Amino acid sequence: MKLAHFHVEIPYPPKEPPSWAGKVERWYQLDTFAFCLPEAFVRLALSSRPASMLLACGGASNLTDRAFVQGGAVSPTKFVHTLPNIRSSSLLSVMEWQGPLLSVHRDPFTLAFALREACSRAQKSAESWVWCVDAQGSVDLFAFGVKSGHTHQVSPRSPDSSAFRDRADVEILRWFWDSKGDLDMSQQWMVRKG
Amino acid sequence: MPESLKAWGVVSTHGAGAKRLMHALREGVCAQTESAHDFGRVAVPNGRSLAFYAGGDRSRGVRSLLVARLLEAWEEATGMLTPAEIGALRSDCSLIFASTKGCVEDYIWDGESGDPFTPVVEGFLSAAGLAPRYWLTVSNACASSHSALDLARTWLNRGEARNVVVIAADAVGPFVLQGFHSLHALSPTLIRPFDRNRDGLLLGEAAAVAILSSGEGALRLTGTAIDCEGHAVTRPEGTAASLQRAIRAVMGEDTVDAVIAHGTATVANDRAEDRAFAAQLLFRPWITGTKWSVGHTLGASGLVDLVAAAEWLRNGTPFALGTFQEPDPEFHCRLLTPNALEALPPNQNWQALLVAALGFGGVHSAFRLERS
Repeated sequence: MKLAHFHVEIPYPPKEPPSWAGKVERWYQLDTFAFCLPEAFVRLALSSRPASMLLACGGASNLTDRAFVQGGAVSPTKFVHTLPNIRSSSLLSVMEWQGPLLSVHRDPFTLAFALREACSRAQKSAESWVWCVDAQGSVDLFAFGVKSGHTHQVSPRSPDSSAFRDRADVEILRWFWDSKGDLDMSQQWMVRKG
Repeated sequence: MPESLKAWGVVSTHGAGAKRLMHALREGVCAQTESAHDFGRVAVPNGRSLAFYAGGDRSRGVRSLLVARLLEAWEEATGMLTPAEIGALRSDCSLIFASTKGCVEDYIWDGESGDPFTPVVEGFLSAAGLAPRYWLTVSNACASSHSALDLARTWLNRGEARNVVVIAADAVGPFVLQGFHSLHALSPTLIRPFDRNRDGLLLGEAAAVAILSSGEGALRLTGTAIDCEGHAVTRPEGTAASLQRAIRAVMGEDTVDAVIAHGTATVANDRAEDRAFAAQLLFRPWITGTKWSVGHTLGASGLVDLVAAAEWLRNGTPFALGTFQEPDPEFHCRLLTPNALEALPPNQNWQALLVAALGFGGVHSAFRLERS
């Protein structure tokens, strides 16, 4: 099985309308999370589409929730984004994709458990993606089961740390890699830097 | 191998236990008339727009409240199992928590970094003395329970678990209530799903537990599906294409006797459901719901509906849209109104039900429950 990893830093707020502005209603009201996901997708210019997707955001929608409350808890345009799965809505519009998407949580290992689930799904030959976005506009996409593309191999027990932003990410990925026996992952792991 | 629903439990607006839930649904009790609450921290227009469970101690926080309710539902569910089944469950299970907001109301005002679900799960596991091999939270808006059931079936199908405990809970605090007020989504009069004069939803609170297992059982979960689309954040696409895909994926060539609709009583959601049911369920099953009675219990609503469906199939006890008054001339579905319920033959054979859900963010989902 191949795993492709992409990492993109998206500046927010944008200085001009995004190329996908016509596909998302009131795109200018999107918060960092909801804006950066579709923008990352466009910048990555991926040709394949997954059978399923998972959204793995540590802290759920706490920051958006707090912004709504601090604004007096009266803005409907802010309230509609106070659910962790909502930030995928703009992504789905721009991807023009329909299908099963799960917003999963288990802090502090939300990403690792999402990777585990996507990995299991991809072992049935169905491509499964995990999206992760943070408040600084850093977006990570882990695409399990990709069939083509330029990849490079890494040791299953030593993730390519240069592909990840900081120590916490590396630790999560190492924890994930180290559990491969439990996950029955006998195939080679392929990681591509975005 | 089939996935069976072995046991269930619920704490709803009407109190603890599936019997109380079914009594209210059967007798046409709408919790809207019983609401009154002081949230303390912010001034919230309340009036008749909230139905909440009066039991439990809110002073210790939402986490404590949700854990206590989940424990009540857990005890009801495990009361349906034999000691041997409980032993098997304790030795080998996985768990999924379905919720929209978890215990975020505890700290949204002060700040916190972790997700608002994990503390609830950890509190429940500790209180129930349960040590699942694996657990995860699914937060897919108001389709969270359906999404959790779909994930549970996936785990059972993959052979990763022999038993999956699905728990669901949400509570309404000033954050959620004020948010729905800001959307003008709450009914200022009386919640009336599928009614011509429907004018919004009724918020409620619930906690529920469902225990699923591989193998035969009296009730089988024969299909689940999630379909997400990016049409708009708060309303489904006009033809309800996404909900239609979810229903099609669940139904295949099967039929059902009735549908427990999401039935929030908002103008757009009820219309979308009517269109999807009319297009996909040509055999015209009865359409009913629970939210007119218990309120919209957010992420827990799907599991509340699962409990209602299970009781209906097990005991042959259908329930109507209790607050329905006037037909909407736009609608095509065959609604199970109080009059229609009275006219049903007393010993009708109820074999299978479909339960639908819609959630913010373009989530559409359905599951089918049948008697073996």
